[in-house]
Amino acid sequence: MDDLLEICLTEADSGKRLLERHLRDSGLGSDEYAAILIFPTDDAELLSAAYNHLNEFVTSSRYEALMCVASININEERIRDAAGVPTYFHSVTDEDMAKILRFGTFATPLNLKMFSLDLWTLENSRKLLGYKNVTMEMLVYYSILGLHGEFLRNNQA
Amino acid sequence: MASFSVIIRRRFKANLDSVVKEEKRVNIDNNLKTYETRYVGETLRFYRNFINKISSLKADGVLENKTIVVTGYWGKLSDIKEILEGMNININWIADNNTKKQGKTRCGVPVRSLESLVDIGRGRLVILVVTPTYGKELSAQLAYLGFEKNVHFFVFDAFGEENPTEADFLIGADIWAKAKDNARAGYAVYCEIAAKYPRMTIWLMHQPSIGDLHIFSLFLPSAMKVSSVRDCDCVIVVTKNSVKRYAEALGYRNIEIASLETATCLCQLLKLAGDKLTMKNAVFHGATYFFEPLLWQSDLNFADSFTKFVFGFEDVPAPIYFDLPKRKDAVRKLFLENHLIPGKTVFISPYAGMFRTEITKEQWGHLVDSLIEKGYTVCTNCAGEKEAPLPNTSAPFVELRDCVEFAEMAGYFIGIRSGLCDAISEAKCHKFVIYDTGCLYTPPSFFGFADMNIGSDIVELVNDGFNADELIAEMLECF
Repeated sequence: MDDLLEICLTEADSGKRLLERHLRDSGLGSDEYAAILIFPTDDAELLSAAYNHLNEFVTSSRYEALMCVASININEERIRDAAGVPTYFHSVTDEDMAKILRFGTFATPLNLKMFSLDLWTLENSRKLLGYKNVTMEMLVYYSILGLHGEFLRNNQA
Repeated sequence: MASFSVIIRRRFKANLDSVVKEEKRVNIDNNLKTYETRYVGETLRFYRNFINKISSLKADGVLENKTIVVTGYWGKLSDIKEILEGMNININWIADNNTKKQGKTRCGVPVRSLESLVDIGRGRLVILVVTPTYGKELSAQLAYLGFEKNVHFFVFDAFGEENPTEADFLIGADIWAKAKDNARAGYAVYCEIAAKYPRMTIWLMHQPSIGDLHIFSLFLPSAMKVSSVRDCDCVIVVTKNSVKRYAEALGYRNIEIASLETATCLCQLLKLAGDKLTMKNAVFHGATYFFEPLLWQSDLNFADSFTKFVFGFEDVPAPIYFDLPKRKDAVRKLFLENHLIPGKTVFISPYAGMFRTEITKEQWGHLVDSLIEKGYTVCTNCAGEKEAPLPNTSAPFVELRDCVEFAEMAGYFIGIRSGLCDAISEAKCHKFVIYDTGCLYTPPSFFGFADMNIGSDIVELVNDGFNADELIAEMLECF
């Protein structure tokens, strides 16, 4: 059973090193106030909500740069336009993405956002969709990005 | 006596133009106060660091004649307020980015947006950014608004790092090492429990909350496809003896007790390896912050956090209520020993665990005296030596397994929203539940019984800290 723990810790360590390497490759060090966006899930509705609120996410926290790491196809042009700050993209394999998710879910750095409803700590989050007033936009805006504004209230019919 | 309506909810609006600040004095020894806290380790270190830095600012005259604003630490504001008041520093405003909190009060202090601080005038205020996690974000926002760090605002974060190294960019090296150590410690405990109860689901209840346990247990049998808690083949891990006793009363057969520190390590383990364990999180918090914003921003309520987020029901089942032990004789004995009148006793619960309430001792005293004048006997629910009985009341020791029986025999219950209110929500008696802005989770829309469709004969009231007198008068009209 000890193997299970060490496997997970090793995976998380690998995920951390992968991200740090990508940050260095992007020229982002400790002086830059950058956000890291992780895209592991090919969910059109989720991605659309992410693109919709990216600008507010970047501007409200005054991020100076953005690094996107994806194991799926993402709309780089849309992200770049929304971000409005220098944005860097890195493609990873599913295997490397698993390591990054292991690190991200374990360490939860504030400037790292994972666009997924399928992490093991959120295993029933999809059951919230469509229940009462919960929408994908709401889950992305409040739960994943941690925004507080009135955007959704102002835009609901 | 007026008849009780099914649910009444009132909101007493604060008049921000006529804020009355109550000055409190706390003795300070050498500008450092030994602060009692239920949390050890990092929280205590954080508070000591905060006290030291505030003392320096005060000694340098930085805070003199300034409007004091606090931002960042909503959850611990009552502690921060007490620390500052002990140093003769009163908080004038709380600043928060959450638009749902703006215009309201917390612990009697009005809340406004960070942007509106510009209207006060940069030279006239000092902003204390008190946060273990959001220091960088809030600093950036304040700088954008034209405030200067260490002139107009001062940051008190977890480790006070001014210049993180490149190695600390993603996560501080010491935080990373600590997280891994915690996961290892949690894993050792998990292995012991898993070995003791092979092939059983282990439910982790990492905070000592009766309310969490109660609502979780209403739906656990449905999740495990059995008809009662007693039939559930699982283990529940709790973090306090009182919660363990309540779990026993509810019918759990396998209960393990862990310290808060161990529970934190188990939460860390869930974050690392939750997809590979037979352990699950029994609540929406501890292993993720995903659900927490929805508490304020959505129509989801406390029961939904279990039925949808924890258990993942497609169709939400009806709660399965418990068959608590019937100990009428033991409860009757309590009434006799404490000179309480069955059917005409008001059972008051003025304490709510770690939360501070904004009803003063004098106001509680007025309520008690008025009830006695009307011919009622009154008793206080107290747990531990720090919870003194209200004056002119008795304090019978009511075990949690007897709380329903006791409340029914009394006839009336008045309490600050707490787990005890969940435990007696179905008791056949008249109940008043007060939501207090001194408590972290106040919205009745989340914790309210009406919204959860749980409980019966409950009057729900909101206390904002300014109109408690009116709230008490309204309750007394019902007696």
